[in-house]
Parts: sequence; C-alpha cells; structure tokens
Amino acid sequence: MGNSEKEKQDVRELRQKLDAQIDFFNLIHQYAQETLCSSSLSEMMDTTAEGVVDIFQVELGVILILNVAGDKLIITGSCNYDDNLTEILVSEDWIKGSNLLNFKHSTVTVETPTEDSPLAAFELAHAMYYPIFDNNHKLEGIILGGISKAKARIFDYEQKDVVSSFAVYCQQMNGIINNFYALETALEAVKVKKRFLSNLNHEIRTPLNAIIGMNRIAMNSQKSDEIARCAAQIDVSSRQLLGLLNDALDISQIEDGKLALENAPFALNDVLYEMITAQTEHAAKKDISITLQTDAADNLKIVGDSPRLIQALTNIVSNAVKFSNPNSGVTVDVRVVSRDSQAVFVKFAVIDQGIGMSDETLSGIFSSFVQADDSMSKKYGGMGLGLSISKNIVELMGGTIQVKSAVGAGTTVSFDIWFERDASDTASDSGIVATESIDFSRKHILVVDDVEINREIVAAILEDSGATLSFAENGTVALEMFAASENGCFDLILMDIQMPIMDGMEATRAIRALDREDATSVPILALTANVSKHDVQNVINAGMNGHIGKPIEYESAMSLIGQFIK
Amino acid sequence: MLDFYSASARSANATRAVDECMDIIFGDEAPVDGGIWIFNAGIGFDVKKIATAIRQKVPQARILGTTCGGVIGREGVGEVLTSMAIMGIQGPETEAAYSSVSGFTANTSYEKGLELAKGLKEKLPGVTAAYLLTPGLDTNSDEVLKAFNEILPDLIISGGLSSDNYKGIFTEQYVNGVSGSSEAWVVGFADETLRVATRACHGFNAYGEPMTVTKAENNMIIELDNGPAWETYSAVSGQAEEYLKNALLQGGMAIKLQPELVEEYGSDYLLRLAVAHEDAPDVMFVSATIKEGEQYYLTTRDENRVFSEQEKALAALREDILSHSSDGKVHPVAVFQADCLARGRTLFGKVLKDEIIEMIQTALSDEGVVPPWLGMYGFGEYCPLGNKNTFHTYTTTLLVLYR
Repeated sequence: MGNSEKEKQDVRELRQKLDAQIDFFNLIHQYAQETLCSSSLSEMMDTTAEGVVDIFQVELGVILILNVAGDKLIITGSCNYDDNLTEILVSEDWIKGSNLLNFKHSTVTVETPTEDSPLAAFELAHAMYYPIFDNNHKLEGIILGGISKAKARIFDYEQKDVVSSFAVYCQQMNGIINNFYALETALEAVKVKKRFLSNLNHEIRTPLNAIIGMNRIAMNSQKSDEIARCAAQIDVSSRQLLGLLNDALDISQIEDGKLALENAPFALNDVLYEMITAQTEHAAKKDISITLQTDAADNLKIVGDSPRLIQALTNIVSNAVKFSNPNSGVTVDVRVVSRDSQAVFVKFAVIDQGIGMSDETLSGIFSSFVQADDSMSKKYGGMGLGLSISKNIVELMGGTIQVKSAVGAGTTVSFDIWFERDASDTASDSGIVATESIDFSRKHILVVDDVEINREIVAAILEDSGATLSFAENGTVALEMFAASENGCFDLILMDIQMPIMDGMEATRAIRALDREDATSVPILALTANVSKHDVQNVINAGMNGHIGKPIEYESAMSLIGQFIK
Repeated sequence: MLDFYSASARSANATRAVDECMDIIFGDEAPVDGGIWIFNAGIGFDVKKIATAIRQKVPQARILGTTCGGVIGREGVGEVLTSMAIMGIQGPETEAAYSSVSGFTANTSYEKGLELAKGLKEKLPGVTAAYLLTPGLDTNSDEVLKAFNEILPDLIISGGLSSDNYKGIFTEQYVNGVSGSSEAWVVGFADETLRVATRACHGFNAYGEPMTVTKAENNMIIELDNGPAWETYSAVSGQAEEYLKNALLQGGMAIKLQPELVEEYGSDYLLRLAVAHEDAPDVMFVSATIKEGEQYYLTTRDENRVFSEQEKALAALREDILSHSSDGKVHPVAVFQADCLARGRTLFGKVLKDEIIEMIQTALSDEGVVPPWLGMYGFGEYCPLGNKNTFHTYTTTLLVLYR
C-alpha cells in the first residue's frame, strides 16, 4: 500500500471511528427521547432498562430503586428479566462497600456478584451497575446491566468497551428519571385534587341531605320530642359541614402559606381534656374508648395556639377512631420530655390498634387530599385533609410529625413541640366568660344584617339574655339609627360586613367618625361569614372591636359579646 | 397473486421492535391479517416474544423465524443482538405455503428433507421456488437438497442455515409456537405471475497444497492426511488449533469446483466452513457430506474479489431479469438473501457490510425503491449453481421474485 493509499485508509478508518461514536450518542439520545415519551413511570423505567440491553448489548437490564427504609431494592423496570423476583434485600454495609454513596465521584462497578451480594439473586456472570441519585444527591437506586451465567458464553462482553459509555448513559437517564418523578408527582397531584373534588361533593351532600330532610320532618311534626331529635341531627350535620368548610379553608391557607398561629397562654391538660371530651362521644358510638395518659402537671401553663393544637390532635384522634375496630381503644399519650425555666418539650402520641397501613400508603398520607386509596373514602368517609392540616400545624409550631404503622397492627402518630412556659400561674386567664353568668338585661344591642333570617337567628341566640334588640337591614339604616339615637343608647353593635347600599366596614368607619361621645366607644363586633385571618384583621382595621364568625358558635359568641358589654 | 411486505428494526424489546416494523409496513392502517410471516432476529431476542408480538398485530399469521448473526432489511443491515427483520407474504394459500419438521440433525437431514419436501408438495403442488431454513450447527445440507431433488426435482431452492452471533454455540428456529435448535422449515411459492432469479457468488482464493480427507463420516472430517483433522489443519495453516476452533470463520476450506461452474460462481472453488464440537474435539464438522479422498485447500479472503464478483453476479442477475422485462426495467417484488458475515469491507479488523449491501440493493431496486427484503447472516447458504440446488458457505445468495 503506497503512502497516499495508506493515508486514505487512515482517513477512512478515522471517519468510521467517528461515525461509530456519533452512532453511540445518537442511540443514547434516541433512548432519552423514548423515555421522555413514556406514558407512565413504569414504562419509562422499562425503556431505560431496554436502553441498557440495546446500547451495551448485554443480556438484561434492570432498574432497582431503594425503598423508603433503604433496606430493599425494588425492581421498577426491566428488560429480558422475567423471573418473579420483585425486590431484593440490601444491607447498609453493601451499599457503603459498593461505593454507591459518592455522588461527586460515581463510578461504574463491574463484578461477578458473589453469594453475599444482593445482586447474586440475578445469577449473573457479568454485572455492571451505576448509582442514580435524587435531586438532593441522595442515593435513589442503581441501573444494572448484566449477562447471566447461563448465557455468558454466547454474549460478547468487553468491559473496557462499555464502562465509560455506560456511565454516560446512566447519568443521562438519572436526570430524566428525576424529572419524570417530578412530572409524575405533579400529575398525581392533579388527579388527587380531582378525586378530592368528587369526594368533597359527596361529603357536603351527605350532611346537607340530613339537614334538609330533618328540617322537613321537623316542619311537619307536631311532636316536640321528634322536633328535638331533628334539631339535634341538624346540629350534628351542620357541625360536620362547618368542619369540612374549615378544613378546606385551612388547606387553602396552608397551600398559600398564609396559615398563621395566634399564641396565647393555656393550660396544657385543660386543652387535652377538652379535646378528649369532644371526641369521646363519637368514639363511644363505635364502642371505642379514648384514654388520655399525660405526665404534664395540671398547673403547667404554656404559650401557644391552643385551638390549632386541639385541631391537630383532633384530626389525628378522629382518624384513629375512624380506622379502629369496635371494642378497641385509642390512647393519647402526652409526655413532657424536657423542660427548663423558659420552655417545655412535649411529645404527643396517638396510638390505635386499627387496620394500619402499608409502606406505600404511609408515604402519601400527609399529602393533601390523599387517603390510603379511593376505597377508603368510600368506606370510611372524609376528604383526606385532616392529617395534612395536622402536619402543617405541627410544623408551624416548630415540631415534626411521624407515623409508624403496619397493616393489621395499628398506627402510631406522634409529634414533638417546644412550648414557651407561661409566666403566670393560672391557666384560666383565657378571656373566656362563662356563659351561665351572662346577663344582658337593660342592655341595648343593634343588630345590622341584610338577611332577615340571620337577624332572627341573632334574636333567638340573645333571646334569653334579656338584651333589648334593634335591627337595621344595611349600613345606611344602621348609621341613621345610631346617629338619631341618644348618646349611649346602644351598648353594642353586631355588624354584618357584606350588605347592599352600605357595607359593614363603611358603616363602622362612618359611625366612628360621628361627632358624639359614644361614637368611638360603642363596641362594634363583626358578625360575618368572612372568617379568614385576613378578614378579621380587616374588620379590626375598620374600627371594629371583635369578630364573630358565621355560623355562630353560641358559646364563643356570647362570651365575646359578654366581654364587650359593660 | 402474492403481496410481500418487509421491515427491519432495532430494539431490546421484542414488542417494540415488531411494532416498529409494523408501523413501517402499514403506517396508520391496520395490518393485513393472515399470511406467512418470517422473522430473522439477533440472539438478544427471545424468539417466542417476537412471535407473540407479531400475533398481537396479525392474529391469523403463520409465523416462521430464526436466530442469526445479522439481519438485512430494505432499511439496511442490523448486526447487533437486538436487530430483527420481518417479511410478510400475503395471498391465497394455493400460492404460498410452508412445511416444517422437528428433529432435524445432520444424521436425519435426508429423511427430514423428504418430509419437508413432501409436506410442501402436498400443500403446494405447483411450487416453483422455495426459501429453505435449516439448523445452523447440525445440518447435512447435501442430504436435505438430495431429498428435495427426489420429491421436487424442478424446485429452485434458496435460503440458509440459521446462526448465532458467530460463536457457534446455539441457534434457534421457530415454527408456529415451537422453537428449538432442530426445527427446520421451508416456504414455497406457486404464484404464476412471479418469475424467479437466483445468484450466488463469493470472493475467496485457495492456496497451498491440498489436504486429503483420509477418514470421514457423514458431515465429519475425522482425519486429514492420515492425521487428526484439526491437528493437521493447524499444522498446514500455521495457526493454533485452539484459535481455529474458537474463531468460527477461520475454519474455511476450499474444494475444487467443476470447471463449467467457475464462470457463474466467480471462483474455482466451493468453500466449506468447519466447526469444532466439544463432544468430539479432534473432528471437523461441516454442514455438507464429506467423502474420503476429497481434497481441501486453505483459503484466503480477497476483498477486491468479493466486490468485483458481486458486481458481476448482480449484472448477470439484472440481465436475467431484464430479459423478461417488457419495459426494460427491473421490477422485483421481493428479495430473500442469505449471506456471510465475512463478505464486506474490512475496517478495524471487522467486516462492514453496509457498502456491499447498498450495492446489491441499488442494483435490485425498482426505479430507486428497494423491494421488500429479508436477509440474514447464516452459517451457510442454499442457492442454485449451474441449475442445481447447491450448498455454499462464505457466499452471498439472492432469491429475487419479480414480475
């Protein structure tokens, strides 16, 4: 071969080599594209495994993902692996020994798996694997390619030819897998919300149906005991509705990052007994007992948002009751695990012996709108918001929530929170006025609401208090009545917010602006269905003294009114 | 009148590979059900999964297949373990049919050949051409051709022996739900509108003094020049015995061809591929009848000749086809190709076949369009030579069906 002929041959061979490299990258690109077109995570994992086989010409490809506990590798995708094996046990030692944890300096491991290797289950003569990491650089699993002992003679396998390119492929796929996870999570959230809306519809209609039905029965009945029974059922159903609405609003606030705590001193045991008392009646209907174990001193007073703490505990306890078998018990265990002169560290645990949950279910229970599965909502009811709300409340309080469960073996939900200790010694200084002592006789209250039935409800609530009531159907009328009255005529004004002609905010500002002595001193309480923290702040900003939410909670409303009526 | 469809694809997933092929063939339209479907597949596939995937698309298909060291489709060559090619043959069962047997070995090649031929004749009395597939590692091709000649003396036979990835360890043939290393099948054509053209050629040279077979049995060379076969061959070629036994394509030997066939074949010699078997390590196994007294030469690959003889063969094939053409053009409707991995351009110590396959497909295209095409790299090829069905190795054989 002459020089020029040799040069031509060299060029031809170089070009061929470059073509081969380009072909290789084209293949990686092609598999990247195919995985991105996957319609599900499992399809994407299978395609990734196919890429291992096709590009590197090995017999089988397997994608193994670590479970939450980190002690099993789950087969989530495979190519040419038809055995029934779905998972393999792994030890921490093996993971460490296999150099899988080094995110920055990941390498391809090439070996013939020995008997003590978890990969021995695949009976491989040649194995090569590479770690994949999640977006926080935490080991997520491995991509494995291999040739079985049975077919080792047939397959050509030159380790040096494939190792570096295998690393490139795995890195590429790692990124795609993580992006796909994110996409799957987002899509799942959309699906879950759709299920939630369907659930919400059902959950609202059920008590609403009871209210309408019971109301109809009551209206047609002449028997006082029957009417009382209907009223009681209406009360229960109304509270259910209110609970649903509050949960939905809480979740909305949580998602918007607007849920805030309002700290005040309270006696821990008082709050616990209050919560237990409220749940006991419902639990008793299922023959389930609730036991409180607390080592907190009765006079322990702490600072926190007690209503939110009650809400968090109530959600967990009611869940425990819901998923417990009849004639079993739920234990609320409260331990002060650490204390100093300024603060106490309290551990709360709610323990049941109910149906329990699998690992898979556990991973999603704190997500909004998620129940163990669709059948749960059908069988047990609920919208799947409670635990998510509890988790967020606990986290807002600086705590962390945990859950341990096993199918058929019950569930324990626990959380720990640091509370500041209150400087005072009394736990009763909560501003609540005992409703039994209320006497509004000789007191004159102006009720401003554009809806007649609402005015009637207020009249009914205040009927026994001895108060004299005047009514206005909008802000303008209220302003005129107040302006026309003698100084000090009205002891309190209950002001609706949303009204025609003049709304409550404007009317309040107008009253406060009047040039008379009682214009600034008369207590004005908002009486409104606008119950968000933002709404409360707005009414205070407008010059009102307090806020009563609709539907009206009798005791708290009377208590607040009692606070302001002199 | 028969219709032919073909496609090839690469994928580690049999279903995806078949789906890709079906997409190429039928596009958005539903696949035409029924017919005979033949697949050639790399050994990275489970052949049963390929068949299942085909059946999902074409429920009434009669499916035949084989493993091989490389596939050839109208899209080009596929030489990885995850390459496959398929050919669909649609039309009346009186125009295309297949026959198959189990238990085909070198020792049973004649009787199984009779069974195959009789089965085909029964289903297709007017059969004129056939594509034959026999096991890659345990076949006596001369015996099977002898059997066919007795039952169907005018039948034109093309085809080949199955193969693996040139390790010589394992081949598998598939026939309608049954797969194994001793299955054999033949597809016959009896479409009166079809004409048949075939050609075989190779590009090896023989050299040195011949080795004489001094002891033989069926397809086995037990002794050469009165010594153990592999030992003698190793000594004469100067290559280590173990190397020769393990490097499959190195065991090539040439036997002189009758002078009248030299021009057509482009060679003075017919080649034979010898392989080793661990059960009889001193014996050379050949997929043809070996007779004592035959003389075999060492061979050397002549790349220039591979290409030049292929050009001549294609010119002759085109001339044959054009002699029956009314418009002076070639109109092939299907091409079946059996080939040898060793035929092509050598780069980096590896034979690349793209160039020679492109040359063949260009010559047989119909106004630039490559016809449906199914090819494989096998452990041997069947094709007429001098109007007699013949077994070849290191050869390109073409069965061209045209109208």
